[in-house]
Amino acid sequence: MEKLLQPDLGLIFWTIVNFTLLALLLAKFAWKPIISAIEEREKKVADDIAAAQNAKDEAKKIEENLKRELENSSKNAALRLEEATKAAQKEREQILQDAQSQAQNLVAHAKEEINLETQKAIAEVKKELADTALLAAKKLVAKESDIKTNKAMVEELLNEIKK
Amino acid sequence: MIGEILQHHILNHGFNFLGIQFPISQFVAMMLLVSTVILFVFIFAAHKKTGRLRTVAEMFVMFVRDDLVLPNLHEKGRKLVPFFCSLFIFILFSNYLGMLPWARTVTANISVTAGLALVSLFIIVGQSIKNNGFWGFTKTFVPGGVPWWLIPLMFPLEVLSLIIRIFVLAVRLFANMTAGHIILIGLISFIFIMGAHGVKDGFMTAGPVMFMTLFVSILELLVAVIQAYVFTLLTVIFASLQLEAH
Repeated sequence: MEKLLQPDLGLIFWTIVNFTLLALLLAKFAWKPIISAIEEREKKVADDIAAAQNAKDEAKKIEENLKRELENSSKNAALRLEEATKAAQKEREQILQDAQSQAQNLVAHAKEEINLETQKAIAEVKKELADTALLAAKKLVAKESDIKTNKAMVEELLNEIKK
Repeated sequence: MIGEILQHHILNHGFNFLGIQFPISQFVAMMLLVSTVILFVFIFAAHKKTGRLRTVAEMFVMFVRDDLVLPNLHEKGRKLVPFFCSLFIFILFSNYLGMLPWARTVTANISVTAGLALVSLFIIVGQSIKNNGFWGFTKTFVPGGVPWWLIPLMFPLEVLSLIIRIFVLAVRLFANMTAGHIILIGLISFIFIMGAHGVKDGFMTAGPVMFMTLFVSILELLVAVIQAYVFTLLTVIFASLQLEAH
């Protein structure tokens, strides 16, 4: 049984030679192609994951930009609406003011025309009165009437003026 | 008698095939057979792009790389992955092919396991010198924080510890594989011992013994994988101890 524990130098040597050759051949023709294929695949998977992550980040960025733009557009729209409302309000006020001033002008113009017409009428009345007085005087002179006649005439004249 | 059977099975003999005496021993012939089978299987697998064999080969390489080498040796061990793959597969195939009828279990011979352990030692020492330089390699034998006056004692102890580790590596594989054979031979011998008492006793013993032999053989299938794994894992751990300077 002790022979089982006795090392055989020759067998140790051939084991070393055999295993070294096997390891070299396997490394070159078996493990290297398999390992490089695995590493290539792992690299591809890692690249794909990185690309997917990049695309996700990019999409997120685009989404954020769109959100920001949408917010900006809403703000702009609100601003423009406010501006338009203000402009419209201003224009309305302007139109009202213009209308008011135009109305005032018209009223002033009408008043002026009325004044003119009144003065014209008064002047005409005065002229007519003067003419009537002159006619009455002429009639008075012509008839040489008495006081009664004169008086009646004056009253007639006054009535005519009152009319 | 059992000793003789065991010695015939485990010790090295001349290789005689079909009455022709070959100038190599049985164990060398067996190792060549194992190596040829491994080369054929894995080179074939490497040249196939798909298929079950290729998948199994890739799973095996990834197992050795991701579960044995990289967790212990980190990036330094990446270059050693092919060596550890070869070591694992050679021991595994030797263990399994040794279970075939008429074959020899090369890993149940101390000289073969010693040869494998020596190759591991060369790789560990060589890689340590390559990574750390010769001075760095000698420094791996001095644990960090040791007072200077303890170094003359610690250095030979650490060198001895590496040699013992490698020696134990060889003995562990040899002992485990031999133990299986001893149990099987011991069990089968029961039939003959009982048969010597009487033929009927021999036949009565044969049934339970064959059942137990089958059980031990199934256990051996498991032991074959476990021992290949243990040998490779311990080599990786010893390499990690030597590659990283204290």
